[in-house]
Amino acid sequence: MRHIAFPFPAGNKPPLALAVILLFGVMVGATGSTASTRPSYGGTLHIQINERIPTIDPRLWPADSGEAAAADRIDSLIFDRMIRLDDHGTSEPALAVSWQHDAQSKRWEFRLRNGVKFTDGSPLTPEIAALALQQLLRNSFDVSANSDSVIVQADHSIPDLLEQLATGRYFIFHTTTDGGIFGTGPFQVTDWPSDLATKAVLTANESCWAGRPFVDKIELTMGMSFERQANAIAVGQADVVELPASQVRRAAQRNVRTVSSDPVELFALQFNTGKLEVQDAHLRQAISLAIDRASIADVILQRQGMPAGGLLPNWISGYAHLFPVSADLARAKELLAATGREVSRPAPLVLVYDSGDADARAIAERVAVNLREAGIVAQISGQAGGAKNPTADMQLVRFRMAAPDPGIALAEILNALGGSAASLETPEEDYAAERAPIDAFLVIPLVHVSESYGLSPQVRDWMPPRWGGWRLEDVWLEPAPAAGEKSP
Amino acid sequence: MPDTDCAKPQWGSAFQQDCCAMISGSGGHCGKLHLLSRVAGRSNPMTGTDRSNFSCRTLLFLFVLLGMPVAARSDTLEDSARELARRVTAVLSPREGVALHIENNSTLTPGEVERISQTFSSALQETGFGVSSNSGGAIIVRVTLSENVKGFIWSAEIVPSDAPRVVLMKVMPTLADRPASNLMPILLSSEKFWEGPERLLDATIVNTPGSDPSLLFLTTDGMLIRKVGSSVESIVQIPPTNLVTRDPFGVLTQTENGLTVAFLNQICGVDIDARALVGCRPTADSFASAEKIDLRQSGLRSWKGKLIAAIQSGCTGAPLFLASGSGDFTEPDTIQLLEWTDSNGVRVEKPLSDFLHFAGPVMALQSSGAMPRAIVRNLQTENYEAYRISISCGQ
Repeated sequence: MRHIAFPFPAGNKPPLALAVILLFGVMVGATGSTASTRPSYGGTLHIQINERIPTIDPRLWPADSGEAAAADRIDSLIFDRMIRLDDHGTSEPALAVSWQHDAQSKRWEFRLRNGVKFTDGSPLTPEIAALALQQLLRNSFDVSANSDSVIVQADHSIPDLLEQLATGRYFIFHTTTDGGIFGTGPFQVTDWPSDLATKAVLTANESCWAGRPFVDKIELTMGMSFERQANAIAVGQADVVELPASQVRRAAQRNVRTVSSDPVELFALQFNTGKLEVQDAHLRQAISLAIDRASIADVILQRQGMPAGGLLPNWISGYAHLFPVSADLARAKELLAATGREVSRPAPLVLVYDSGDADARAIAERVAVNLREAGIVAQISGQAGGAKNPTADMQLVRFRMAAPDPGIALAEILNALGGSAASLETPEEDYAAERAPIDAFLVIPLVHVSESYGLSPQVRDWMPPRWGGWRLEDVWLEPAPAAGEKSP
Repeated sequence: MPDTDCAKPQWGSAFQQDCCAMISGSGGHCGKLHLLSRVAGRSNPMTGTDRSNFSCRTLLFLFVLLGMPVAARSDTLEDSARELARRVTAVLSPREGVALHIENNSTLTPGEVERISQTFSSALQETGFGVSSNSGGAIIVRVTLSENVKGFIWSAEIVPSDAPRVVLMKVMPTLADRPASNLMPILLSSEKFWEGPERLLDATIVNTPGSDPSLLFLTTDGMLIRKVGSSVESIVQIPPTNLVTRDPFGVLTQTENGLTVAFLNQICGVDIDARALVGCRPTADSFASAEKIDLRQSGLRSWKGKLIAAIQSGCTGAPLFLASGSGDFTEPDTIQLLEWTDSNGVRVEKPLSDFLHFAGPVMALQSSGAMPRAIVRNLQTENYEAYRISISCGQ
């Protein structure tokens, strides 16, 4: 959905326009009862999340993919990007209204939207946008400005620049000499927590170029454990909470309204090939064949996951069926016999997982059980934050899909695995690049899981993209019934 | 032609540019491009691909206003099946026997899969390959029709050995038909006449004496007029208002004097023949008058949280209305025909048709005589769809 027409001209007062919107809202809802198709304005949305994001500054983007995903959700409320993705994952205008590039895709020119202001009142200019992008793209690109455009120049072809600018940290921001940082997004920061506090307050940006958001205020509480979030939504203290995949069904049984994205995260086993114990490819293949992915998805994750044979979920790649997911215990034992492990009886393999991740622990335990059935003894070990452990033979890793584009998502995962791919522009190139580490059994995909939330009954029009995240500017709250009013 | 991306979503200066030119290379020259439309009419229901030559300026606008239109299904699927067959035969040895297995993991219908299968088999046979479904053949070709967020992905695994060859191909998405219900006394049916990724506020087909009908599209960005079955199209620029909302509203109404385009706070007149804006005036207080609850008043569009639209019919003596469901924009929706009568001052609603089911919320429901219009956001395809709704009496 594109909201680009009819920006407020200079000198016009947005509150007057808002009054017209509210009048229309009153009109269409005048005869309604508690059910209401049309959105309502007002109210405070209470959200709780597990991650704690110390700053909204996109220049201090977290390296961890889970923290980066949380920062992405929060920063999307405050800032805009030059480009955004529509519901099909296709680039569409945001702060840039048009763009063009040279034949080699080395030089890109983005024409900026007119009349956009930051929440401190400063106008969006090409110079400010170029400065922000330069700091985020760093030295790999040269970013400059002319009268109405931002120019990105590289010494190499950058055909996927649009997709890059539409995801991740590439928000346009404006800083002031006193250290303030401002965006053009639907909300502005009223209160950001200090080191010890956890609650942030965001208020509606009345002058947002894309229209005022429906809710007046967002109260965001960070660093909340999943257990506390589950309790908060159950007793009506929160409107939106995160749900681990393994707890979605339980929340639904407690009459919490739950919503899930398409699978957007991958659990996989990554081998530490520097360890002698796992350098035999037959052993790694045996481990892959021994794991019952279907039971992990259906039992451990309560059907909130999909067995994964490949790195990308099918809704991103379209070819996930080319990677088998079925277990073959007999074949695993045959391969194991070829390694001679049954004779030498080596020390248990060490499998490390993130001790703060309830889903990861449950999956690691199931993997250990599967391996034991094949004759491989594995010892699982929780590690805070899932940090790399040089003594581990294998690590349970969790990757979040960086974008709904197969090339970008795959490149990010391959990069995190320590590899790379030269060109990822066609399905066949994607497939070949994805196939390589899997065929070498350097990584064993296990399961793709969805991003899930619990919502209060008042939350309406929760319409995030299928790859997860928030679109809180489109969310509205069902007004509480007036005293004495009855539901139909 | 090298890849050039242009997105010109704004009115005014954006359209002063005559082409979407590259910064270097062949800048300044515009090639003629083929544009594939997705218009389906009652008399010509999605049977052919409407290929037309458009100027870059036209292309520019349609990219912006209606998204990149996609071919009607008829030609595209067969063409794609032949292309996949061509790629498969390129890696087969001549005159080999092929055991063909086709699996559908996508939203393609069984009928479409059958057409793809027949075309694919024929294409293999035309190049000298014997095709059977018997796995006893020396070569197994396993075709999977799959789908990702951007469209269809078709794969063909060729399995002559331990290391199967894989051919992968992107295919453009296609349309879907809408079945009509037939259980209640009055039959309610829908006909989709447009689908595209851009948010539609309203769309309609306008008949003008002595010429072909015109398709009119109203979006948050403006209005496009296009002759059905023709490449002639026009942009009517609507002056921007000072009102920006995340819940935009707009309706097209054909009158004796032309066409009106009503937004939240202004109404504009359009001369369709001249393809020109007649003028606009503010209307802030015209909506407030709708608080007078008269269900036949065209200004009232919501009832008990449902969108409603009057429909003209001689089926019964009472006023008839279409009503959507009362869910929000995250849910599949329905439209049902209702009869409203007053009983001792109490308004009684009686359903007269089965539900018409849609794959997403009804975003707008507009009265238009005997054939109201519905704009639906399909939650599966994320596209916006325009339907004409009609009723048949005496079922």
